[in-house]
Amino acid sequence: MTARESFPRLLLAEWTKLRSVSRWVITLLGAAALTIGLSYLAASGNKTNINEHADFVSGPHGEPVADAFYFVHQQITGDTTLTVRVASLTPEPARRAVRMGSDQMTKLEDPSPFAQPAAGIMIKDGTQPGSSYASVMLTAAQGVHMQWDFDADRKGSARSGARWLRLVRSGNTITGYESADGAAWQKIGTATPKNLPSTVEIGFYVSSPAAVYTTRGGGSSSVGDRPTSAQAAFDNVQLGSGGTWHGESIGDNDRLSEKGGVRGGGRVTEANGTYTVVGTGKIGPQPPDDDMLEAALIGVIAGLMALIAIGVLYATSEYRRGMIRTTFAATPRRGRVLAAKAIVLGTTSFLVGLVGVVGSFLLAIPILRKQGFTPPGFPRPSLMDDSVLRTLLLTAAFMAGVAVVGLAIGVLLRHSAAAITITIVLVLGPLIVGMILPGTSPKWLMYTTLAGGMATQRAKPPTITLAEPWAMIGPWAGIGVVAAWVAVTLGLAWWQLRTRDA
Amino acid sequence: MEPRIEVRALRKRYRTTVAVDGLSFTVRAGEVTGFVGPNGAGKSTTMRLILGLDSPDEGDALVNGHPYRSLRTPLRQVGALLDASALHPGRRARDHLLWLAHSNGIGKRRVSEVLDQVGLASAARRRAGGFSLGMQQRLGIAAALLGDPPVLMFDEPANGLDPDGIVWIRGLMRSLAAEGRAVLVSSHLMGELEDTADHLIAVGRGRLIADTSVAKLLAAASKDRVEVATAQRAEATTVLANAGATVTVAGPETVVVEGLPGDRVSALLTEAAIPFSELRRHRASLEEAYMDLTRGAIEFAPETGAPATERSVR
Repeated sequence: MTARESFPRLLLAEWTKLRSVSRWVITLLGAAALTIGLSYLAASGNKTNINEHADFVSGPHGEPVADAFYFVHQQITGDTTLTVRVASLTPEPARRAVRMGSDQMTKLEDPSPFAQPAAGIMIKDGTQPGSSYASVMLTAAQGVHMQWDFDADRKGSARSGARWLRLVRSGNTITGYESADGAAWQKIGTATPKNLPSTVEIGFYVSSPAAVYTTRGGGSSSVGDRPTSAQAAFDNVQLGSGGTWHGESIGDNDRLSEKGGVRGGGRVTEANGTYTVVGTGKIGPQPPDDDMLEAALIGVIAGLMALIAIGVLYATSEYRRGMIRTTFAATPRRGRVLAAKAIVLGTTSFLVGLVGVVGSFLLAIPILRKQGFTPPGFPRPSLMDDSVLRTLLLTAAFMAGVAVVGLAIGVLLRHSAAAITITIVLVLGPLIVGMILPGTSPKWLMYTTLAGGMATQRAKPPTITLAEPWAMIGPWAGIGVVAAWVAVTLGLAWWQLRTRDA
Repeated sequence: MEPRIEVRALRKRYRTTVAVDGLSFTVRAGEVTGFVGPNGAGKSTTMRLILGLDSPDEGDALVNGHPYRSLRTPLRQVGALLDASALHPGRRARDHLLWLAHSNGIGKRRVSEVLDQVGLASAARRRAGGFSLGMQQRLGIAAALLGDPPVLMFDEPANGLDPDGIVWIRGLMRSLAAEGRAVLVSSHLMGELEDTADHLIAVGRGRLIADTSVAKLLAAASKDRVEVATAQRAEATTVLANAGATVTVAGPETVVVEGLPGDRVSALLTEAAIPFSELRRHRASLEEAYMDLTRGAIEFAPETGAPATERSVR
């Protein structure tokens, strides 16, 4: 025999099978159309007024940020150096659970370095909330950090207790240092904030983010917060050209004080060169948990149903009239047939899914923008954003993965209706159960079932503050769960093909 | 090596039924080998075992010296028609052959060639689901021919074919064998193999009953039989039967005499003054020969609960 078997030719054979049944081609096109169509409809009915009562402002890059703290500052022009010793930092203890209205709510632990009570020093482009800054701080539980412009963070030493901090401005760069004794200094990082005019505000501050309490389950979720405060003592304050220190609450702390926070947003008292500062508020990213991209991709679930049907039929049609014998007579190595089928179906479904999600994005985003999804709460997403690209590609991969699971289940069951039903239940069942289950309990469901793949649709980090259970896990975990399902079901199908008579 | 199929001590059991029970035979090149037996005798199972679709419990089947499952481009070595309806009804005839061709690295041009060869060129762009049984059969044969293989297997190829089609497929099989290929054709209708098969493998209940050349089989079945054409059938029967022959009625004016040589029959009839218009050696039909062969050798009665066995009736 001159010709050798080759896997690419097997792929071509399976592709020929897939494309030559016109009903399937129509269904594939339909999957993309369903995705786009439902996304469009859902976007049309989705409105938000989140920007009207916001606890965030626009940051230097247009993103939603929180910018509230108590700042003891003075104006300074040109290059400068500020050194202080944070003698102590005492955060107010927050309760682990509170009752708000009729809901028993638990405290949301946020490990972000932006969400810690902190005492530090800062150089800031004025006192307008949302303006550029760079700071070095001692946090209550995470040691020393340097941060700037609400999203950049450099970790310093993990020490707690009294710490010397220093900021040095030189032209457009600000360098942060820390020290245990005020003599031996370690550099933490160098920042170039977006806007740094020659005249800036410089000083020391205390921040203490509100404690967030949440409850979810029964198909809904609610979130509430309670302001907290922290107290810190600063001494050894040294600024090149000493002016007068002036204490001021930055940001909208009136609202916080109404709810039992620190009156006036904080205060400062001075005795023998030691400044005792009480502050409240958060400095850092403050995106709404709602995900604009997820809101633009509602139709994925519809496209998914069509792709499941294709995946299953691509397998079961081989069995309905015994064509599987023709297939295995042509290619006796059954594992290769299964691999070729999975690759052809997976690639096709991925491309169909990609058309669906990109189409949804292009169509639904402009509609959402007309209906309140605007900055600062929702910066305009672009196809070129990393998070948008990741979301669209992973969502298409999720759709392809589920189609391949449908294929494997079709091989295992050899029965179209049963296989389609089971695959759909595998996706939708855990979603429904996860909506109802309270608190973080649906997390394990998302980590173990195909429903976890829905997490690929989120561009934002995981959160437990939303009703949808898939928001609890990250997109990579979501696609990982789907990949595991693909591997396990294909493995079972392969094993069965090898051992069973055709 | 010369194309051939070897089946050695093959045994296959499905739950309680032994479908193939220690079957051994060889299909040789340059011959059409008929594979006969009643429905349920294990013919299709044997073919599936040869194609590696089912796994035997014991024994093995080799195609050109290799187990089928070890072949990398099997369509170029063995063409098989098992079940003509085993295709996707929504797929066009041409596409059905095209994916098969791709899977074994066979060129597109060959697809058009075999479609021409089986007379489906004009239906190439029609969906196979709309085909008549005969057209599906032709498409299945086209698929078998696709890889131009030296070994061919057809399971009941005449199913659903019209008389023209039956003549065509006989000619096709003869010419395939004449080209030196090994051809295995199963049938439960002996008549289909008349004038087609060179060799016969008869099975019943999964066991081998006969493995013989058709020429020998017919000679044996025709031996010592004489056909007599006479208007006085009853008288002739009496005379010959009294002389110890077995006489069977074969037509309104024809009897077949078994157990007496031709010259003795002629003498007896002349002696009894019974006129006869013709006296010739009887040439047995394949069906008759097969019935002789299997008489007593197998029970055609179905196993309890199984549907009644179809028997060839012509």
